[in-house]
This record gives sequence, structure tokens and C-alpha cells, in this order.
Amino acid sequence: MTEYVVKRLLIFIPTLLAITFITFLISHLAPGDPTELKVGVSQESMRTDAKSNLNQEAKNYYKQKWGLDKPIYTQYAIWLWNMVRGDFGTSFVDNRPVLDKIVERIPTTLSISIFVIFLEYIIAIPIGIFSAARQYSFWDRASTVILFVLYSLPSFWIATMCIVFLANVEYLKIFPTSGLSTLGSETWPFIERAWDRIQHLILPIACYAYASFAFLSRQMRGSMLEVIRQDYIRTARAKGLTEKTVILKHALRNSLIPIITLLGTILPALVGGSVIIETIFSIPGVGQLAFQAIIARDYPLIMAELVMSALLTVFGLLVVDILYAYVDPRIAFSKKTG
Amino acid sequence: MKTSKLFSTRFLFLALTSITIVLFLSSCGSKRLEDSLIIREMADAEKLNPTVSNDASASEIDSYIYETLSYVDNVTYDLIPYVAELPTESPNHLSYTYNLRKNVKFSDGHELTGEDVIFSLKAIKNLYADDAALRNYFEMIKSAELVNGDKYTVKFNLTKPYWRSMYTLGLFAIMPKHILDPEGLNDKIKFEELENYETAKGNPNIQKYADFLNSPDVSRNPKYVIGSGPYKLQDWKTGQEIRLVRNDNYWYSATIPENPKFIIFKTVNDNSAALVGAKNKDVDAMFVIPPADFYKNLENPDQFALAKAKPVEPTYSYLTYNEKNILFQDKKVRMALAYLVDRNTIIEKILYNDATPIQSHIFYKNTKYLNDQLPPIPYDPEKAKKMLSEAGWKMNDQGVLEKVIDGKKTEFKFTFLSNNNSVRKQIILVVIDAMKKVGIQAGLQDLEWSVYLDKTKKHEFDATYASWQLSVTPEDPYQIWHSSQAEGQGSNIESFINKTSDSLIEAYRVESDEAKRIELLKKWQQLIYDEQPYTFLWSAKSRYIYDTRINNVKWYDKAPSPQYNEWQVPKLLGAVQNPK
Amino acid sequence: MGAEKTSEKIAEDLKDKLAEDNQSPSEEELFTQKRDVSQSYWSLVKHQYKKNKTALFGFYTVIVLIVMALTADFIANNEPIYAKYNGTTYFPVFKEYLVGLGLSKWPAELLNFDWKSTPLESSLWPPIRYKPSDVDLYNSSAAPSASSGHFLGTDAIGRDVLSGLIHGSRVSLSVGFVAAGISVLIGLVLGAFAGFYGGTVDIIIMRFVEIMILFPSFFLIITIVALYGSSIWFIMIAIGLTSWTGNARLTRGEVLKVRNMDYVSAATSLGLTNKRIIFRHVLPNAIAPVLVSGAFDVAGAILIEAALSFLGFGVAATTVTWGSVLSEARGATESWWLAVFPGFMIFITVVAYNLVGEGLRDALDPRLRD
Repeated sequence: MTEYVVKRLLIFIPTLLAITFITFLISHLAPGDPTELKVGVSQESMRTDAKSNLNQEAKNYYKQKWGLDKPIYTQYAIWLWNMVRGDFGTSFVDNRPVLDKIVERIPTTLSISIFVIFLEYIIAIPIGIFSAARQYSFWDRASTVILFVLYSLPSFWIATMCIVFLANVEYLKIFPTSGLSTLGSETWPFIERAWDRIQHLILPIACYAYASFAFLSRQMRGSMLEVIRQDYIRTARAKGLTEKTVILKHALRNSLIPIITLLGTILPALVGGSVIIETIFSIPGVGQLAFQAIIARDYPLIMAELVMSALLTVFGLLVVDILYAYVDPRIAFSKKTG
Repeated sequence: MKTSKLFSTRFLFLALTSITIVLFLSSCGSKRLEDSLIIREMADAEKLNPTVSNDASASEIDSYIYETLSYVDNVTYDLIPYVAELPTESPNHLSYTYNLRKNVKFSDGHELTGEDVIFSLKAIKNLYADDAALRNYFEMIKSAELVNGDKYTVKFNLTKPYWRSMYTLGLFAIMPKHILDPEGLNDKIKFEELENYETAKGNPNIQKYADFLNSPDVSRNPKYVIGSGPYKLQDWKTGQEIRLVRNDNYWYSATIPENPKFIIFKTVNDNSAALVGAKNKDVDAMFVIPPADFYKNLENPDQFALAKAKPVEPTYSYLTYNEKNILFQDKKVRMALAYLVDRNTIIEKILYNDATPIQSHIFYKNTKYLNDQLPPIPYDPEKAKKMLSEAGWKMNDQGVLEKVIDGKKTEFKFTFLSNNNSVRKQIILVVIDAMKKVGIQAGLQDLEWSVYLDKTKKHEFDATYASWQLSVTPEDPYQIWHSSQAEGQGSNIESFINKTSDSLIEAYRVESDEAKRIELLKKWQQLIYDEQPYTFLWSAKSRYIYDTRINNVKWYDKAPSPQYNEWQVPKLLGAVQNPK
Repeated sequence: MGAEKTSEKIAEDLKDKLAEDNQSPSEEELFTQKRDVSQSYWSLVKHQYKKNKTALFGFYTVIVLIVMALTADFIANNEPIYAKYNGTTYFPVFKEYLVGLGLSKWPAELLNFDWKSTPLESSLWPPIRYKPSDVDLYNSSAAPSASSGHFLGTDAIGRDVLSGLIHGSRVSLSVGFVAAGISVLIGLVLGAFAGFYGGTVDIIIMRFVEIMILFPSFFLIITIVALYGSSIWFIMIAIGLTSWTGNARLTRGEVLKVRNMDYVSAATSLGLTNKRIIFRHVLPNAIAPVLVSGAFDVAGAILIEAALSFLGFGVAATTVTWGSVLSEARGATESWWLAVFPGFMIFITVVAYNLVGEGLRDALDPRLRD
């Protein structure tokens, strides 16, 4: 097992190199100059008395300071060398270490992600089971349709509609519009603060989760159906066990296998955060930071986010493989082909 | 089997609750302070050291912490004495001498003297400091020194006479030398060495000091952010709030008792959350960004004990056409284009009537310097058609205006450049539609801010919508309008080259008599109006709301408009709990 | 960032991995089944597809959308289709096409003519009398109303929403098709090569696939579009380049199955070149699952384009797209029609393509046949 993990990690290294190199190229070769933002132009309107004679010199200085004057391969090598030693550099925007900026937002994104995962699984699995157990029944057909519809709804549309209709003074104001908490809530007692947090997070979590649990339910159903067809289920029924025992005790275990392994792929995506949901609901999370980094051409931050995302994904895939091998006796006992 | 254990309900419940608790505990609480004023900031400041900071939030906050040699009067815009008397100018106009007051102290009790002034100038001129934007203004300021060793008299030397230097010199923040240069590194730096990167290389202290000044700690830690102003920095919670506390050792002690004890700048990125906060009294005053909120959401502000204010901040918007492009080289064409902008309807329908049309580069409230004889250009597509036809443009078969220029058939087609701002986009689309009706085909390209800057600086555009933030100090049109600034990456992005304009500007710059200066500037404004290198659009009003319980709230026509330390928070405020 | 690389994409790849482990229909099932000797494989598929009511609905919806996109100028335009003015008959909409191609020209007084405000002897107008770009500040932010002719309302500068949606379908559908096309093409070619040649070629291509899977694709697309400027081509190419991995894997799987069959060995022994074998014999049989994936790819591409428009990185700013109208709703929450209708349009389109994909998948699955 360890050997397998190590081998996988080793193979990942050239992959990571390729990913970072491609992204590095793409972001650094783009038109637009980050040093421009340092020489006196704030957003939207520019100062009339801003002199520009010295600007060129100053920009050259920043170019040098940030190493932007070196050929791109050298820049990449420097970045790589630093990254390997754990130094992701400082943000162009405010000189703070890039890792700090990312890490301080992880709890926020996680607080949404964790709930999303729980929601997804808790809802998807029972629905999938029932649909499979009562295939072609009204319940099955209805849920298939509903799930299909949910799966096709664009998340940014639903999120916008939620804000327009459910968080708007003009219609229904059930939920707060956006952000993480009401201003001044720091002074409230714990229970009220917690409830305020929950209220703010309900909409983002719901919008985030619905598409996934539609997909998951269908997977669950499909996997369950496969299992039910198997001989040993027929045997169990023939033995006289109740339908409930048959489904829940025998079929469930094996049909859960692919579902659990899916966890390994969902998790990294969620830690990365959703750019769309966080932007629409103004949640100061990791996804929003990534988006802002791109806009601000904050190269060190962009690269750090990318590496983190790739690492998480590979970690997730590894977890999938391991869980799979561990949990599915067929594979554990058969020859591993990787 | 393992899976059933994983999914046992008990385990799930436990996991869920513990995670919830952990996450919610991560937001700690503090009570609302008594005698405090809470102001909403849209974005957290990045750095609070006045030399290296470059964002609007920081400069607003710093204005309460740091002080300057002179000050611009909030109402008349005249230069008035502050930390020092108004300077005396040398007969050759190459130096200014300031006499400092003798009782000025930093918030830690240390005296403010000419040493601090000279040190601050050296820091600004330090080529490795993160202050390229600020440093530009000091290009003509060569050096500073104490006169006859008197630490209350400072003389600044210029490379060229320039009356505006009085403003530059009078308005830079004075930093405390004993805090920000305890080792006296700047004593080992000479002004000659700060001239350019070549000369600077020889003295390692320059880089050393710059590294110190640029460090995050210097800009964030209250022990370094110290000034002589009425407030000092008490605490900065990144991304959340910056808390200023009243300087009870303020040297201008007459005003102390009236100032609020705390001014808290709270960062709230989201506009709707901020609005809710204002209604709940978690924010006492703020700039309201979306016009829709200001008008629809706050139709009856008094039901929330709020009041609205619409001061005028000196900015203006304009359209400009690149004169390197053949289409726009004829001033008649440019004037015709001005007749295609329906300013009044746009102001009414898109800007909620909160803007004033303008005709000149000079801030319209600056009555001294404004040439008010310039008639507004109305929306008149028929007149525009006529003017274009007179300029030789005829409609072709495709319905597009066409003209033979330099032997080539040229259609009137071009693209507006804009950055990703939705209101700007709407306005440009309205203009494009009006142009289409007379046969001009204009497109629009949205660019991200940095690319947009790049393109406009390099003159790689046809037309654009932009805005300028004017200062309340007298304008110097050189930067934007002089032909020399059309080269390289100057601000004369539309390449407006006009000899008369140049000579007027040059004369204006060296004219030390104010009355004569005003004459020159008015003449210049008339010229610009006739030439129309810009279609001047309007000056928009700002939108503020504030809590009605606060007294002595004044709104000045400058940016930023309010002067928070004048506001008086009723002492009762401490007793007011959150309405919840 | 990560979540946009939807978990289903990764799961699909997983499923294909499972497929490689022989859990999908075997070759025998594919090719030996009850059918008339005269019926070809594809007509059998068509027959099976038609039996599925929902799949048919999806198919017809797609047809309707395509027709709408092609005839947008006849449905929503500020010029009449037919008009009699001053005794002469005109067909303005047609003529605009001809004028645009340079094959015809308007008489001078009719250039940039305002047909709507002129009294015409007789006329036939499109049902919606607005072009999507028609600005009308006096009717801005108007709620939907049948009487004003703005059936779905207007936006902040008075542009008609319904007209915008109809013309917007052109952008959405073309991005969908081209991006999906790119994705399918790359996937087919790479997958075929990987499956057919095996060995080093296979390993290299599969490594490449792994790299693409690990790339947070939405992040990459935003980076490209934000930094390089939003043109419809960048968007199409960016989407196509980041979504081909599933197709490659599918193709590879199919090619692997087919490679060992007799007719391939026969072709080889006949001396046919590898290229010919791949493209003329192997691929046509392997293409079926990729078609299914292609339908889903179109839906996905349309979604991504709308999301990009929504975030502000869509195609040229003057073009009205579904996503751009939806994004206006964020800044104008009292104009609910800006939120409801464009989103619904996107939804219906995505549903239609998903149904087509599902229908194809079921039609191709021999186990579901009678």
C-alpha cells in the first residue's frame, strides 16, 4: 500500500510541474502590466496632477524587484525553487505573505464546504436507495425528474434569483442579502451569533449543494440497481429475508462503494471554494480570493492558489484510489494494475 | 463493515456539532465602544504609512493621524497655515522657506521640528520606496535644509520655478523621525544621491532604509503609525476594522473635547450588508455606492433615523477620441460628436439626476478659476449631422458615414474602450446608439483595469470614457494637455497637440501673479472648449448617509467630503444598545 | 475555483475508468442482437431513440432553439419584414442581409430609416419590434407588459429583454457547438491514437490527460479570458481545450475494445495504413459514446459561457447574451425580469441538451432494447 502511494506521489510531481509551468506562462504572458498599478493610478478615476515622467523609472524598478525583467524560464525556475522551500512569495498588492492570505480564508470556505458535503450525502443516499428499491414507481419517476431538473439549473441563476426574491425588501426578506454576518453581531451572545451565521450561510450552502446531490442521487440509484441485479441478492431474497434487510444490510454496502470514493473527488473541489457562489454572496473565502488575484494580476497569489488546488485534487484522487482498494474486496484481492 | 460505522448517526451528529462550534467560536466579540463614530470602508486599507500607501481608504484615515505644513481651506480652497506659517518665496522663485510653529508635538509627546520635515522628504524621495506615485510630485524639489541650524525653519530648494510647489510642499504628511528612523540612516543619505537610480546605487543606506519603510510592519503596527494629528492608531484587525483613538495630547488642544473619542473604520465589502448595518446603527456614516440603494432602498431615510447628503466631490467624466486616428483629427468632427451625447437624459435616467453637466476641466465649484462663459453643448443630432456633412462625411450605401481621406475611402467606424464598470458601459451604449442613428458605427470593448490602463497609456485605442479626480489645489493642465505628454506614456492619451494651448500652459506655469494666472487659465479653457479634445460630460455628486443623532455634520465640496473629527457624537450614544 | 470543475466531470472520468474494467456492454452484446437484416446500426439507434418521449422533447427543443437562432432577425427586429411605403413594396429584413453582403443598396432617403415611426400603407412586422441593442432611456427598467411591446421587460437603458434573449441564442448556441466540437475532436483524435498505438504513445497521452484533469479548468478559463481579453474565439477555444479529457478516455476505451477484433486484423493483413484503419474502420464504431458525451459537452459549454458573461468576461460588450442580461439583475434587484427570464432560457437549453444526451445514451445501450 505505501509503495503504491509513494509511486503515485512521484508520478504526480512531473504533472504538477507541467501544470504550474503552463499556468505561469499563461498568466505572465498576458497583456497588461502589474507594475502599472504601483505607479499612481487608483481605480476608476485618475488624479489629474499625477506626473508620469518618473513613472518609467519606477516601473523598471518594480520590474526588477519582482524579477519580471528576466526571461520567463528563469522567472519560473526562481518561483519553483522558492516554492519547494515553502516560500510562495508576497502579494503584489499588499506585500503580505501569500500563504497567509490564503490560509486565513480557509475556515470561511470550509464552513460552507463541510455543510455542503454533509447535506449532499445525507440527502442523496436515501433518495438513491428508495428510487432503486422502488424502481419505476411513481416516487422513482418523480424524483428522477426533479433531480434532473435540479442538475440542469445553472447555479448562478438560482443564486441570483434567491437574492432577488428571498433576500430583497421588495419581495420576501427571509434571508440576509449577503456576507457572512450582520454588522455589529460581534457583540451578540453566542447563540444569536451562531443563528445569524447560519442565516447568512443557508442560501450559499443550498445553492452550492443542490446540483451535486442531484448527481449523487442518480449515481447512488444506478449503483444500487446494479447491485440488486446480482445473484447474491436473489439468494438473500430466496432465503426469506425481509426486503428491508436485503436492501439495507446486503445491497447497501456494496452499492456505497463508488459513492464513497466520489468523496475523494468532491472534497478538494469544495475546499477550493466556488468563485461564483462566493462572489455572488460576498463570502470572503478562498474562491473569491482566487478571482480577485486574477483581476489584480497578483502573480504570486495566483500561482499559490493553483498549486494548492492541484495538490488538493491529487490528494483527493489518491484518497479515492486508496479507499476503493481498501473497501472493495474484489479489487483488494485482485492484481493492482494502477 | 467500516462503512456502516462511518455513517452511524451518532458519529455524524457529533462531528457536525463540534465543527459548528469550532467555526463559530472563531468570530470573537467586543462591545460597541462609547463615544465612537463608526464609518464604513468599502475596502480595507492596504498600508497606513502615508508615504508608501496608495489607496483611497488609507489616505482618508491618514488625514486624521498625520499633519502637513499647510492646509487647504475646506470652503475657499485657499492655502492656509497649519503646522507652519505660509512660506516665503525667494525672489528667484527657486526656494520656499517655512517657519514652523514651536508647540507642535507628535502623539507620543515628542516635538515635531524641521528635522522631521527633512526626514520625511528624504523618505519620499527614496527611489526604492514603494511610493512611486507620490514621488512624482516631488520631481522638481531638489532638497531641504534647516536655515542657520534653526530647527523650526526649513528651506526647500527647487530645480525650476513652479508656483504649484507651494502646494506640494505644504501638503505632504510629516512622519516622526525618532520612530521611523531611530538609527538615523537618513542622516547618512544626501539629497544629491536621491536624484536617480545611478546615483543611488552608491549608498547602501538608501536601499536599507527603503526596505524598512516598505515592510508590512511599518505600515500596520500602531507603534510605527504615529503622527501629530488629532487621532492616533489604536488597533488594526486586518480585513475588519481600523480603530483610531483621540489624541489627548494633541498640540492644538482647543479642539480635543469635541472630537469623538474613537473613530472606527469598518471594512464591509458588500454594499447591501453595509446598508443593513446603517439601518441597524452598526455604521454611523457611509458613502452609498449603488444609486439604486440610495434612491429606492432609502426613500424614507428618517424611518431609520438616517439622513442623506449629496456633496460634490471634484471629479468629472469625459469621452475622448484619439487624435492619432484620422477620424478624429478635425475639430469640427469632435464638436459634432459632442452634440450626439444626450447628457441631460442620461443624467436623469441613469444617474438619478445626481450630476451637473460641465464644460471645462476646472472644477465647477472653483469659481475663482472657472471660465463660466462656456455654453453647454445640447443633444442635437440634426446639428451633428450637418456638421459632419460640412466636414466632408457622406452616407454610403450601407448607411455608414464615409469620406475619402488621403485617397482612401474611410468609413466612420471605431471602438470605445472601457473597463469593467456597468454604469460606464450603459452610458457608452446609449452614446453608441445615438451615433448609429447618424451613420457612425461605434463598438465597445470591455477590458480589465490593468489591460485598459496599458492600452490607453500606449495610445492603443480609438475612443474611451474616463474620469479625472481633480484636486482642490489649483489645476496644472500640463500633465494632461501639454503636447510633450503625448509622447511615451504621458497622460495626454488622446494626443492633443496644439501650439496655442502649449504656450498658454507654459506661461501659466511660471506666472507667479495669481490674477494673471486666472486670466491665462480662462483663456485656455475657452481654447479647449473650441477644440473639444474631450467631450466633457458631467461632475457627479456623491451619496452619503449618516445617523441623525450626530451633531455638527458638515459636507464639504472636496474629496473625501466629510471631516469626521468635527462631528459630535452625543454622549448619550454610549447608552444606546443595538436595536436587537 | 475547484468546484466549477464539477464533481460530475471527475466522476465521469471515474466511471470511464470503471468502464475500462469491463463493466459496460461487451462486444457481443453490441453487435449481435435482434434486428432486421436490412436495418443498419444507426437506424436502429434512431428507432430506439424515438421511443423515448422525453428524449424526443429534448430533440425538438434543440431544433426550435436552432431555428430561433437562425431566424432571429425575423422574430425580433425594429424593421418590418414587409412594408408598402409611398407606393413601393419593400422587404427590409431581407434587404438588410443583401446590403450587408454588398449585393444591394438602399435608396438614400431610406438609409438609417426609422420604420417604426413612419406611417406605412401596409406592413408585416416581426412579433417583437426591437433589436436587442435598441436603447430607449424613456422606457428603462420597465416591467414586462404586453401593451408596451416589451413582453419581458427592459433593462436599465431600455433594451428589450426578449429580443436580447432571442438574439443571444446565437452566441450561446455557437459557443456551445464550437466548444463542444473542439472538445470532441481533440478527444477523438487523442483517444484513438492512444488506444490504437498503445505503448509509449498511450502513456504520454494518458499522462497528458491526467494533467488536464488536475487543472482547475474554470480557474484557467477565467485567467485566459480575464487576462487576454474576451473574444468569442478565446472563450470557445478555452472551453474546448479544458474539457476533452472525458472524450479522450471514452474513445480510448472503445478503440481498445475494437482493436482486437477480427476485422481490424483483417484490415492490417490487407496492408491498409494505420491511419486509414483508425479513421475509416475503428473510429466510426467507437464514436457512439462520444456522441453522447458531445451532447453533454454542448450543455456544459453553454453553461460556462453564460457564467463567464455573468461574471463580466463574456463576449464583446455590445453583444447581448443570456449571461450578460442575468448579470444586470445583480445590480438591479428590483428588476426581477432580468433575473428570471435569461436564467430560464439557459435552463431550458441545458435541459434540452441533457435530455438529448441521455436519450442517445439509452438508445445506444443494447440492454435496454426489446
